[in-house]
Amino acid sequence: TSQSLGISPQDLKYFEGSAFWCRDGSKRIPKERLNDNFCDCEDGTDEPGTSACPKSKFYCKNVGYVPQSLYSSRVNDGICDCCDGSDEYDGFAKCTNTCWEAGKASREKLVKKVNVYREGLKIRRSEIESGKKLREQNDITLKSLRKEEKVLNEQVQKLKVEKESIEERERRERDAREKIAKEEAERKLKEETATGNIADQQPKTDVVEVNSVDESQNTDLVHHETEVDSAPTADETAEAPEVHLTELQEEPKLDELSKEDLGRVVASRWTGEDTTVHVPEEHQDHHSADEATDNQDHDADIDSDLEPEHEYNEEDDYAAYREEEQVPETPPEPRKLSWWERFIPGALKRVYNREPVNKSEADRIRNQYSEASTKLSTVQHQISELESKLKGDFGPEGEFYSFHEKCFELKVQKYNYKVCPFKQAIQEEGHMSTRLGNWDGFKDNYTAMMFSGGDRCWNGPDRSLRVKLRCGVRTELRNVDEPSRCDYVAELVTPTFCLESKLQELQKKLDQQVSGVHEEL
Amino acid sequence: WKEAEFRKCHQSKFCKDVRERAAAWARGESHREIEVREISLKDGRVAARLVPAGNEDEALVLELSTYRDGIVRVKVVEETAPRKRFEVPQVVVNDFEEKRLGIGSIGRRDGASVVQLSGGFEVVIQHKPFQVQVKRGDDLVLSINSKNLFDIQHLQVKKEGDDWEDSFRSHNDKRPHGPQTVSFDVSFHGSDHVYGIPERATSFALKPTKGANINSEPYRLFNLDVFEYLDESPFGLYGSIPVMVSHSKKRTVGFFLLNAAEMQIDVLAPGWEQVGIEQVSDESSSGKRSTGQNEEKRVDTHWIAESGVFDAFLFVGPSPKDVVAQYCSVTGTSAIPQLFSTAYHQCRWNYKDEADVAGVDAGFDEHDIPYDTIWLDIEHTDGKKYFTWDKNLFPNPKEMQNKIGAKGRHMVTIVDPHVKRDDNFPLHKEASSYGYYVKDSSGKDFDGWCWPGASSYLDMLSPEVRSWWATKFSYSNYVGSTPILYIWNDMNEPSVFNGPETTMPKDAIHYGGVEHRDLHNAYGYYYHMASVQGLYQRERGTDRPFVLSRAFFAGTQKIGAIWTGDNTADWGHIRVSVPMLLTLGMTGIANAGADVGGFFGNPDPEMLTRWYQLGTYYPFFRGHGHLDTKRREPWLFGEPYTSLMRQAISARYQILPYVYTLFKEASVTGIPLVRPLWMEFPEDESTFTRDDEFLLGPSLLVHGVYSEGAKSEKVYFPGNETWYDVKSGATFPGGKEVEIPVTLDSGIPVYQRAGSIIPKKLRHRRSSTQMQNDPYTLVVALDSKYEAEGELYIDDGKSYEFEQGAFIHRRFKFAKGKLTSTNLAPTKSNPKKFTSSCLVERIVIMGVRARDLVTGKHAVVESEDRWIQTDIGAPSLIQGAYSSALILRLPNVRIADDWSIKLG
Repeated sequence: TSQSLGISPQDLKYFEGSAFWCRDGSKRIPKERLNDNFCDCEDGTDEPGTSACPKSKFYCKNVGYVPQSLYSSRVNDGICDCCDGSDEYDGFAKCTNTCWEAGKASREKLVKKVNVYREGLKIRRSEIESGKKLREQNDITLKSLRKEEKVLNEQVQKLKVEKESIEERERRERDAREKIAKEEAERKLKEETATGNIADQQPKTDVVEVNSVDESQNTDLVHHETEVDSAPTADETAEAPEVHLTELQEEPKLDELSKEDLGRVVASRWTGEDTTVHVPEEHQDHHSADEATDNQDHDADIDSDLEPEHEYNEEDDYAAYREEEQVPETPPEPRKLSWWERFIPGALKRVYNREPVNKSEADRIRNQYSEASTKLSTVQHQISELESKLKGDFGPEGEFYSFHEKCFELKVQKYNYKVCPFKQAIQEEGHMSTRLGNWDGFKDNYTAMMFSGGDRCWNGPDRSLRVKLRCGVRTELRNVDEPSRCDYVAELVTPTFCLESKLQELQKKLDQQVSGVHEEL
Repeated sequence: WKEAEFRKCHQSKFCKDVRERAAAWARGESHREIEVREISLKDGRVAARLVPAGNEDEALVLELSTYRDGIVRVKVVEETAPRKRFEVPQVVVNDFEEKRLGIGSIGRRDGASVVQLSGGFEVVIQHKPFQVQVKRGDDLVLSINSKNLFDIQHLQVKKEGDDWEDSFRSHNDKRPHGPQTVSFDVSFHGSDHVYGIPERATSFALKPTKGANINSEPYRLFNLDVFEYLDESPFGLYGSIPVMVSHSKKRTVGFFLLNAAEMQIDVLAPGWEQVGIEQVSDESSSGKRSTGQNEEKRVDTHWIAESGVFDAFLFVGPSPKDVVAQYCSVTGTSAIPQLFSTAYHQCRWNYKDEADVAGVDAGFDEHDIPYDTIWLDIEHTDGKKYFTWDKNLFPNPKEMQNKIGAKGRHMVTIVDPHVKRDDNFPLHKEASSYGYYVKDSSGKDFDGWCWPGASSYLDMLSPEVRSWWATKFSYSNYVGSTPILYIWNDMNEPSVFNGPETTMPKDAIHYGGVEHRDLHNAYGYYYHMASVQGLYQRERGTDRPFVLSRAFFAGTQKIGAIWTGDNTADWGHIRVSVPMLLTLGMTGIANAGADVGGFFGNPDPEMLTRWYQLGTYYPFFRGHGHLDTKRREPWLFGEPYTSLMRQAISARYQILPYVYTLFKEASVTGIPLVRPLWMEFPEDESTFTRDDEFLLGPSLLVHGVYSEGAKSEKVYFPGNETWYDVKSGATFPGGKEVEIPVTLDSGIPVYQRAGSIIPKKLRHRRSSTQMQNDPYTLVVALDSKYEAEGELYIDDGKSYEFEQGAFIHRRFKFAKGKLTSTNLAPTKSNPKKFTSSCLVERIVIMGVRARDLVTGKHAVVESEDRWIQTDIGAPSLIQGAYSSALILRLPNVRIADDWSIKLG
């Protein structure tokens, strides 16, 4: 009957009595108002078969295919939505029943999908296993590395003591040398002032001058930075060079541009395209132009941009170690001895009354120390890498463990996209590379991988990439897209994402569809 | 916003000269008077000779005509001049001259000439000094030259040593015809406020620009593409309409100067002539002031047009609606839009490819959010060559449109007036070989820069170029277009990235040797016109064109819709959209909107939701965003935002029958949809400067929410009658400001006026197309007399068959406990008919007396002798809340029929 229109079989009972409640409990509705094409319940309970209530749902049986629950906006709107055409019954639209075809196609598709899941799931299981093994191996490696670290550490400590003692002696010698030099210089100065010759004073004043220049440069830098930060409040009567600085950061001086460049620069306000003048071949190519600007901007913004991820960056770690190594003094370059240096050995002996440090012995210890500590830091680096890897989140069952060593690539027109899980994602174009983001973990219950904090966009956000996971037999990157500027999305198809639960779900759906057809037959 | 890149008055020779001179004249530093020397009647018009400062060589000729409905036209030109000044064609409607009333005689009074108008108005021409006054009885309404600033710089032939050039930044303007300004003063008497002269993002009531302690730039009318315009600035934007309206308790009056050159207008406050001058002693300055204290109220304005003619239209009112109607009877009433275009539009720079379009379309369906039109910005083209498609991104444009069209939806693509200078582009080859481009001052095709790079600009002043352009929209020329495809004209100020002030040099040359200077403000209008003509021809006049334009001029309303350009995602821009739309409405542009969400920047979900809630009531309702912004389709923000945006968009679909009826009214009378409160309540003085709320049509009061985390809004309820909250039915008395609590969930405050009946369709659908057969709900809001009335107009929503009678026009009236529907359409037999089988499913009556408010009572459909049941509830579908609203269930009378329903 028309009263039972749009009601799902399991809901039929709800409307059995002579009256029923709106499901939100607001009102009791007499049966004759069920599907009377007037909305009595705000939640749509009383109008499952009409479009009268915006919030109701229309159930179509779709025999031969799968039942469907439609928004009430689809009922009698002139468009056939249910394959059985039951949503269009007011006579305006003529719908043919396409459920059998739809069902057949759907079942075939489902069968294929189920097969993919089955096959994928096998691979997934072996991934989990090999992940476990890999992890155990890594554990073993870590243990042996820790042992090695201990040995090296002792070695380094020992050498350090030796080195420090030598260096302490060297330092005293240097002090003494300086003291002598100073005294000698003063004496000479006295003499020379007396004779009116001050030319030899030069070395000392040189040093002083260099220092003062360094200092002033430093403060200049600081000064500039604060100025850039507080640009809006900058004094309008600022001196010419400063004005020039801000102009450079924004746009070239419009009045000085050729007509063509002026057009480009003004257009770039809207588009954000690069307007670097004098690079004609790049003008046609706005993508590469984009990159250039973006990289510049990123450099300029590096201070405000220091994301925490940055510190965990491999390269940065290495750099930090290297810097530490360089902290110990490196032997000074051989250079011409000045008059007072030539004068020193004798004087030193006189003042200090001790044999000077044996230079080659000192260098040997220093080298040993440096080698040992390099080795140590390499091992420590390996340890920390392994530790963080072992601590990492590789999926609920560690199934993504092997992805740590893998990168997935996809070429889309002139771009090559490279996604390295747990590390980073980049976009390459020729030799240029743009960081789309650093690893930011799994998202949405392990259905997506997130890379964020990538290179900053002109006038936009930091780049980011969300990689949605899909089940498939072979692992491949697919459908890289940029729905809003610098917001990238992609799909990674992989057997590792072929979940057991999803397979069961699909199997159930397939079984239902098949049995549904049999029932009808 | 790059302030330094735009000219200030003092940086233009013409503006600086006239502004300074006017102040000097007003200070009495040089005496100057125009005298009327001869006055007579010629062909039913007043003809007079004006002689400035006794100089017969520079005599002017005045022609004054009167028209039906209270319109006076005054033209003044040189008696003899070395060349003819440019007069703006295609703005005054073709049949305007048919409305002219022959003047029978000129009366004399106190040495002045008097012409009688209807409605007790008269025009008085004072002879010495020359002055034109509009009066009603003893009341002075409007005057021209009461300050003796009227001046038309006599055209000269260049002499040896004349330096006419004018440069700004790196741009030089040759000004080959020298100084030629038209400047004058207009005074609005008995009033404190003037409105009009769009487009600018500022208050509705115009603030003075010059006066004691006031010294700002004049209001500029010069169409410009302004990058990141500010939300509180008098700076002139994309379009210009030289129309000013003044309103007081007593009357409304309007002034229109038909001139498309750059114009600068000062609104003067007392003491203006002293601005920038060392303060002289009090006595002498007050002695010279023409408006001292205790004198009559008036607003004086000073107009400076760089070139062109003095061709002025005076609108005597007396009501606000009269003034708009009078103006629209000169320049045309609003084109009646396609129904789909009055629904919601989804736009972005840019929907990238066909998959993106399909995805967005599916997103709306998936989230059950209605929309009618999806838009493609410049990136859809092949290298910014309009009428082409990027073959990689849009390989199958027809198939894409067919999919959209199958759901009753539409698509809009962008077509701009700059043409890529690419020899392989047929459009360019044709245009250049036919000589259809604007020329530079040396006579070569003007070569500028826009999206495609080097570009030339079609000379849209030429009727031949316009006709040629119109053919480009045919299906055979615009390959890949289908009948559901409509057009968007952007950048038509015109925007020239490497031109002075990002536009075309004024000394560029158009058809007939006309300088760009003379027609600049109308360039975009002609372009818009040609595009509309193109769509009209595409369907041989059977389908109403839809073309959205950014630039506009007086008369744009008869062509199509406009939007307020590249706004920004911030609260100030939501707020300023209201005065901007109010101003556009008062100057004839009924079909306009601001981009919901703001073009630049990223709105947070609250701001976006608030913007949707206000956009529901914009005549043109479109969401749009810049290329660099984050995606902002309504479902991307999660709950509660998605539901709230759905509700806001859905609220627009519910009132479409009302909105469409208002568009019909605008197409007949010119009365806008977005109305200042004083348009409906002209005597309520507290509404005169109010621009944080507006009326949509006569019956809905809309007050936006303009700040983050707002807890309440101060809403003013105009008039003496009650206002009903459209959601709850709660009532508020008129004549009071009330602090209304607001939450994001409750939406923005919107009220229905007591005494009105609003037709709605409450069924939720995918697009307006699917609503065609849906039943109506009538919402009756009773006034203190227990009465209400309203109208409904319906036609096929897309063709011109309504011109042959194919429409339904009903009048609903509730009185004496009975609701009656009567026919308003002419009953004579029509060549075409429009019928509708739609029923009325629900009648909501708000403000019912307690004794009538009984559930289960019956009402009777008198024409059918049938009983219907009643219920109690709020006007929206939310039930249960206490309300004095009675709901008549399923009266099921046909919307097209005569019927009456009596309450039990």
